[in-house]
Amino acid sequence: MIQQFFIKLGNDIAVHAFQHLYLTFISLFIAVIIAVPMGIFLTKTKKEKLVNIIMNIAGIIQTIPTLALLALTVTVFILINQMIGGSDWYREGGAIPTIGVLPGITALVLYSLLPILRNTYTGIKEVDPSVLEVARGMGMTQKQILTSIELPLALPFITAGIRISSVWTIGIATLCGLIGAGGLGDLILIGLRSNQVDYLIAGTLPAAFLALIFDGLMGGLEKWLTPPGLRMRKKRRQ
Amino acid sequence: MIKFEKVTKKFGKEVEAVKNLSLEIQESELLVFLGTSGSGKTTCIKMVNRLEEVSSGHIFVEGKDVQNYDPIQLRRKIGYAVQHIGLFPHFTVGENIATVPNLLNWDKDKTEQRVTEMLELVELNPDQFRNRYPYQLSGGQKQRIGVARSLAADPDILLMDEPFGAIDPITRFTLQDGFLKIQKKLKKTTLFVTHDMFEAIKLGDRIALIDKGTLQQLDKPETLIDNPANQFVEDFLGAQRFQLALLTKEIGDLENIKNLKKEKPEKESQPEAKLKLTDSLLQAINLFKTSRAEKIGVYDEETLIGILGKEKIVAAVSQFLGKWVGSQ
Repeated sequence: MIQQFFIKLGNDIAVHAFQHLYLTFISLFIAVIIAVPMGIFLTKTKKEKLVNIIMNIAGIIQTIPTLALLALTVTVFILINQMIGGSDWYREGGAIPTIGVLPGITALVLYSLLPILRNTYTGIKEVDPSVLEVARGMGMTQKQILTSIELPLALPFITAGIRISSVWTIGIATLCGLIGAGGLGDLILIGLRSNQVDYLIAGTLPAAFLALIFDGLMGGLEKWLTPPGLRMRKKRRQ
Repeated sequence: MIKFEKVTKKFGKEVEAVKNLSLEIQESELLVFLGTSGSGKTTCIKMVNRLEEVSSGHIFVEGKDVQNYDPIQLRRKIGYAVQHIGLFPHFTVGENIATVPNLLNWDKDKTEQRVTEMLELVELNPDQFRNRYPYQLSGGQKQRIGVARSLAADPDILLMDEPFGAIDPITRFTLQDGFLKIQKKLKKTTLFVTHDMFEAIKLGDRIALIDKGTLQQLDKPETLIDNPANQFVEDFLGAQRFQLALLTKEIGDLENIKNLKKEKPEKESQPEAKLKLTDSLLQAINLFKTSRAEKIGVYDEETLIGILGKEKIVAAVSQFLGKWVGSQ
């Protein structure tokens, strides 16, 4: 039976799992590129208000139900097209595609920002102030303090943030099937619409596996990136 | 070497942390800034390496106004150690000590050599400690590394902000003794901040007593105790003044100890407890108390010059007390 399952769906699973990973990787990559520098910036700015505003925005995005966020993204893309393309927006070849990979990735990026942003921010803020004072007092430049003190000490936090985001993203990416972005969600939707349990399984199990594998890999990375001077301390605390 | 000229530091518009402070620190001198918390003593030394900027007035380091130095370069030539030590937790002991040499791009062998020297200086075994991480050290060991780190690039000037503050009294005494030994050898121009009078008197060549940002008295330890400049200084010394006075008196200066030198010590009965001529009367009393010995050997550097009996120290203290009461 298992053999038959794979003969029938193996190819589909491989293709869709690949799409799924593609969505996840691209989204995470973009989210890291946005959230880490922004997190660093927020620790350096003196405008407390700005920090609050940005953190709140990221928090609010997080509270929007996933389905709604996908729908909103599509809608906003349509609105943008309307603004750019006038009344021709619905014609094929609008300025930006309103369904498919682009809105899918956009929604995933928005969703994964908060954990990375928050962890980068707290990771750097958590660094012992006396360590920073001495670093300054011994003549390190701001840049040296950031690269050789703050970032290495915050790295385990940042990786933990990326880990949380990656697991979420893999789960949420299944919904991207709804807006035609592909991924394992497609298989689940086929199964749902045509009442075929094997399709449901072919979509669900690999997605769950991917999430587990990612969690494990990122956990390993987190440990590996923790400076040895901090590794033991963590163990001792437990 | 370092000169404060009418230095005032304001935080915001209202708070004056340091008011119109003028003083000069000689080369190789250890000057203690003594005061209660919030007295502005820490701000004083932070203005020297420009962690804080003066609001008005000038601070000169080696004849040049600190405002004319690049702050990064200035800080790299001034050693800095603080109460909370601030060892970098992700650096090994060796890497911590090598911080400033690395910032100054010393070559690798020279830096390694220096780390070894520094660990030996603070009496920690280099092979054993070089590759440890800060979490593997005791509080006292961390403080030693903090001091070693501040000395690593061989700065002419040291700023120390209660470097022995956060540890138990016994370890603190050992560290103070160790630091005195180092200071005798290296003769760094040092600004040392503390709230502990005993520490100030033990370490300081001169003491600047500060209250509410104003210099109350700047004098040698014994002068500060014998002749307090004003009511505040008297109150600050308070009930411990007599004890502090005992700390400033070297046993070599006492009348009946001078006679001791003439007596020939009996070679066969060398006491285990030892004192140096430069040790204080208070140390002698404490040694009698802790060792429970009846006799203590007094040494001039390495040579035994006499045996000090308990009765002699009691006589010396009561004589001193008599003078003390008379002089008050």
